Amino acid sequence: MLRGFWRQDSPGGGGRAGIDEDPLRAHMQLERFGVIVTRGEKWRAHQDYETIFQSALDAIDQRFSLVPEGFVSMPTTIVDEPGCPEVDYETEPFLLARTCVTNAQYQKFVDSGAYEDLEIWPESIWPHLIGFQDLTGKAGPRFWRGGRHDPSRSDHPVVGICSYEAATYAAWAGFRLPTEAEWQMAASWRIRTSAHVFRRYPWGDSHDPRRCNTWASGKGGTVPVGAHTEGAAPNGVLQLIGNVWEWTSSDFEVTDEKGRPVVGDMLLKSIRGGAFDTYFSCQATSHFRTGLACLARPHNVGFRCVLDAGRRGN
Amino acid sequence: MGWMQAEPNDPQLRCMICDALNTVDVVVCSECSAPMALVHDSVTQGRAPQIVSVLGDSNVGKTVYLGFLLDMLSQRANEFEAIPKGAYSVDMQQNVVASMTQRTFPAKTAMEPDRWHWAYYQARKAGGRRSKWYDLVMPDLAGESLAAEIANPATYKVIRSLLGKSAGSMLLVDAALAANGATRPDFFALKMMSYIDSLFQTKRDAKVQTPIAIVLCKADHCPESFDDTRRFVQGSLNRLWNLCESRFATVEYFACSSVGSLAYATGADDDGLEFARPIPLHTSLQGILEPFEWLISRI
Ligand SMILES: Nc1nc2c(ncn2[C@@H]2O[C@H](COP(=O)(O)OP(=O)(O)OP(=O)(O)O)[C@@H](O)[C@H]2O)c(=O)[nH]1
Ligand SMILES: [Zn+2]
Repeated sequence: MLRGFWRQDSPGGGGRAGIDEDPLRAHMQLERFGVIVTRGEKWRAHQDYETIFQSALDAIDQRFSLVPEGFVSMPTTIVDEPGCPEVDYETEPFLLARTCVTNAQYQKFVDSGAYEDLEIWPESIWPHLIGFQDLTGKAGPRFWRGGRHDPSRSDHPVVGICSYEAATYAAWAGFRLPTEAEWQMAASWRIRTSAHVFRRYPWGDSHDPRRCNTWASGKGGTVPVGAHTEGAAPNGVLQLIGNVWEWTSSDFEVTDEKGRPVVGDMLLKSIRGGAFDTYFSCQATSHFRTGLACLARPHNVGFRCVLDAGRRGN
Repeated sequence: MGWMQAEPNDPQLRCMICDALNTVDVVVCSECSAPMALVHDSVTQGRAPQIVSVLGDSNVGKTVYLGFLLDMLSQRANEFEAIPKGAYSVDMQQNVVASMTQRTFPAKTAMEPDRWHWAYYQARKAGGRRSKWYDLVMPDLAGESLAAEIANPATYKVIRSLLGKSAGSMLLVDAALAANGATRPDFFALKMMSYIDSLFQTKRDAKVQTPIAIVLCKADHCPESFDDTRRFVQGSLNRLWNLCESRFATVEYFACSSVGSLAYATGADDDGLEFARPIPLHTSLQGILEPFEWLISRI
């Protein structure tokens, strides 16, 4: 199943430039930490297994935070007013990446030949894969050039990727995207035991343009994923609000105020959190719901990864 | 500034858009509904306001664009200082902001000039006392009135006077339609530009000097128009491109969008007719200020 770049028998005699021929070391080098910790068993015989496995665990400890179990309520109509219909979801504990996936991280995915490896993509989008190009026609995020990101933006969130690219990267690295409910739980911290504690923002209840990058902050573009530490959630997760919207794995299904279905030109996926160009502060909160065409590749949408809490260290 | 006062001792003021005489106490011109504050202010400040006209076919997105432009100007103090003159100037932006936060688009602009919104702003680029103030008058015209005037010049005298007095214009074009292969946006823009051309024409070979920003609206539908706007215009609005290149000396192309994601509420109305009402799921402003900045630095 894990076919690809390191295959000894692949044309050209194996790995791509700079990527280790040894599969386990290649996973480490490409930051596929989730693959190592969840599927590590198969490399038990590898001479460096213990060290590499431990390094992958350490990386996950550094980069992910535990979101406790909780519950969320989401309005099911486009107008979110008191008394409008809602659905409740319970969420299990999970590990959420503290930051969005950066250009540098995504570069490793592109460099590994992921866009040419059909097997890692869902079959339904094979016809679209050829369109996942950068500004110069090379495979990769929409705003890259020649298959490379702008080096001055290595630590900025990768944007210009559709929901399938986000989900495929996550799976390739051994993770997944958060569901919409999980994302909302991570941002609003409505813990089961304290039923009515619900934060409008990860840091509290009032909007503060200094804690996040939205239009009001005046930056006009993305900032590094580690910026705005003062806007962190209690568990250290950064930038849930602002900088870039985040793809979730959930379909966006709502109705208008009269219960009529709201649809897009194609399937809408739920995105959350607002971005650097979000003009209305009410649209960059822990509970504002919106959706985006699943194949859209805009300049203001990125993503972060999730690892199921039980799977770390399996 | 002979238009300020009709005659000495005459208590009437001449509208600076349509030249109609109005009594001094009226707020908007009785003929064309332009704000009379323009005239009052010019009298005290001794300078004539600059008029910026925002043009475009019906439904291209003029109201949404103007509303957000003015709202951004009045919020972003680090780039621009902008002061609305008169409460009526605020209505347009308030209307757009109120609708868009409720995930609806503003209602269509009425055809009657007395129902158009006018905005009169004093604006300057931030950067110290020495930067120049611009008095800007920006009416939100109805696209259908513009179309009527182009088809039969002098149907809407106010439009002709307004354009004749404009220091610069923005011509909004529906990029979503053009990207889908529709020819209407190209033809409308072509007519509008040739109307302007004939209005300003002095010598046959001299190009029109008035700066014109061609703004591709709804570019969220065709993101490639942001990447290379000129190429998009050349490809999808070729008639407009050719006219601009041959007749207009100061023209630039921009792409803009106000919508981050568009969906449709679908169903049947009370009469059983199928409909799909567009819903701006969230707002994401792109390219709104750029044409404005370009334009005011050239007027
Ligand atoms: N996708 C998208 N649609 C837009 C945008 N701006 C406006 N629209 C759509 O265009 C329609 C018309 O927008 P208006 O701003 O009212 O257009 P107008 O040019 O003032 O129209 P008239 O009143 O007929 O002159 C809206 O109802 C929306 O459906 C945009 O940025 N993106
Ligand atoms: Zn008048």
